[in-house]
Amino acid sequence: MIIRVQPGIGTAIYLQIESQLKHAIAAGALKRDDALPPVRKLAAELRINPNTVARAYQNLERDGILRTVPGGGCYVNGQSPGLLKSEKLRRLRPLATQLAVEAKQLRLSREELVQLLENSYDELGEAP
Amino acid sequence: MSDLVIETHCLQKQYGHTQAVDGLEMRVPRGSVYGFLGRNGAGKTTTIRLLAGLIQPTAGHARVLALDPRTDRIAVLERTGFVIEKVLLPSMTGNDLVRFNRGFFPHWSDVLARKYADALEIPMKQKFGKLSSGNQTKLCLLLALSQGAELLVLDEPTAGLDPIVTDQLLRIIIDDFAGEGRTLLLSSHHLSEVERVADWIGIIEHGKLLLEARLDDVRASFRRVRALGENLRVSGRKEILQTRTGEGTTEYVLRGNAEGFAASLRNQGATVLDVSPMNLQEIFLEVVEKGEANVPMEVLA
Amino acid sequence: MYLWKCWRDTRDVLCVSLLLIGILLVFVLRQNIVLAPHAPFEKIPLILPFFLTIQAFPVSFVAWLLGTFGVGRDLGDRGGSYLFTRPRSRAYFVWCDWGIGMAQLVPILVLLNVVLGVLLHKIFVAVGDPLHGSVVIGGRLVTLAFIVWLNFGAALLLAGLVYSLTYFSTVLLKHARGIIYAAGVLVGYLFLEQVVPHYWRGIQLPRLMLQGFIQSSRDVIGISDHLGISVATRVAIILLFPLATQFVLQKSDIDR
Repeated sequence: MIIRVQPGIGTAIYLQIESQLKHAIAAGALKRDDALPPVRKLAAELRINPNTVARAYQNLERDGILRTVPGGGCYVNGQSPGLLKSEKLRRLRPLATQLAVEAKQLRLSREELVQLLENSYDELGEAP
Repeated sequence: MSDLVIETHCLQKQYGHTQAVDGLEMRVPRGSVYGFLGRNGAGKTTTIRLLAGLIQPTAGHARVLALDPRTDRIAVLERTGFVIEKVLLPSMTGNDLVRFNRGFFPHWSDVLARKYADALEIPMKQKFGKLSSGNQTKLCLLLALSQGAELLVLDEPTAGLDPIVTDQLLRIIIDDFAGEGRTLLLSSHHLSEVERVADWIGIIEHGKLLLEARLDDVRASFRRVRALGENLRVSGRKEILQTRTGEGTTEYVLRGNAEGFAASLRNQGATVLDVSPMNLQEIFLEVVEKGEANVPMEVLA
Repeated sequence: MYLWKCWRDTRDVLCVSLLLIGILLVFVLRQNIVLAPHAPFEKIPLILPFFLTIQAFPVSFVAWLLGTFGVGRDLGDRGGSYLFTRPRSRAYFVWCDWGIGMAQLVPILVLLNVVLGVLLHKIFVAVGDPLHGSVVIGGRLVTLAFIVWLNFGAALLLAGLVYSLTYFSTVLLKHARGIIYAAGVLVGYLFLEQVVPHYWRGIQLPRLMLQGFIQSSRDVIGISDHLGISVATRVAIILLFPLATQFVLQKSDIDR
């Protein structure tokens, strides 16, 4: 899969990488036990500091999405099983708020917003 | 305190009535890629010349690799690669310059020199004086990159380079330098490039460092908060860098707890429109405009 | 490798000079000098100061040209930031420059004085060469070899002085155009040399070139005394210039 980052926008690069990897996993482009590119290789391809890639990988590992193997190499774990539901909801809250604010500004109705969410969710297909 | 490859204490350089460098306190950690940012005339090049021992400070001192460039200049130069002026010796070709340079450095690598000459597409058989300025810059960089130095100090290395070559150069920097235990200090105006490769940044203005911190921390702590209404009451004034009002909205540029600040605004009943992150370019503009005193790194951690 | 660079920069001057002198040598070798049969052998010494002085111009010119190379020129070309971030002391650069320059003057002067020797030998032969390669000056028997050595030494000292002064001024000015100032100083000194005795009788400024022969009116009457001291003083003065250059460079800020 191809990751792209934009340094000029506001979101930190490591967050962009995390979010793209999560998206890829959620969409099934990266499946359980798939290998992720090595830190230095990805850094060189993206022309970014390896520490940035390493940080993204570390964060995802902390969240249980990736695992590292002693010999080196990062692999996909599957979805984050270990988190409490409350924690999962807490994580999504800022995104939900943002979505709600935008929807209100655009004068979308509650039903239209829910429909939008359902469509996006369905597009991703089954969770791996 | 982590291992520092460069540190300065109250470093000063005066030219006539101007303080080009005015009490600079700089810390560059080992293994980092340090983006040294500032406007033209802010003191970047003067600082680099002081680190190279090319000029003498008026007061204060600097340490490069724990050595003083005033007294141990040769030891510093053996282990550090400098690219300051993009001018070499006009009558020598690229190959001549490689041959010339090789003799000075025990860790010189001809293999690397060849690799970089190919990657950067440098015509090595033309005399330096006859090369285009882009090729001249590339050749200067090649000599520094092949030196086998543990520290590289590059003054505006991408100035005058086209986007393809800049891209190649960034790739080389990341492949061969970043994360290999070697340190790179680069000064640049190309903030988007610095943003990609740097893990530390230092912003200099009027010879002083306004900000020196991990890039990640800077990105995490600077926020722009926009709210409806003007003349809002605000707490946490020291976190606010800038306030702008106009057309019924107020915009705050903050460094610190933006969520808390936004919450305090909401508690007054004000509508917070958004809390958005800022990229390096925006942060740089705000910091330099404000010209505030250097905030210790502990606050940003 | 820095020595290699010094050599590269200056070799054209060396090669062209040697070529020109070589051509002169060939020309002189092919000359047959015929003087009137009764030309007095005793008058031969009178032409010697002429040979000494005539070298002064080309020798000074070459030395002056050589003085334009080195760190002064590189500073003028804005290469100082590169050169002085190589791990060598500034003294190293100065003495390498100066040493190579002086080393190149030697073969030039050797060849020039070979030409002189050949020419003098032919002149001696043309007047019969009664003393077999020697001549009488001030009552002493002086060999041709000695005369040539004297000429060589005087020329080398002059060249060394002009070269060192020129090199120093390029570093002082941080530009190759320092040679103009050096030329100005030398011309100024020559002018003073003429003017001073007019206003302060009895004071004679030392000549730029070592005068091996003492002259009175138009007759050469002897070899100067204290040649050794004179040579040593001049050597010391010459060496002051690279030392001064080293000092100036060490104290300078390299801003270009």
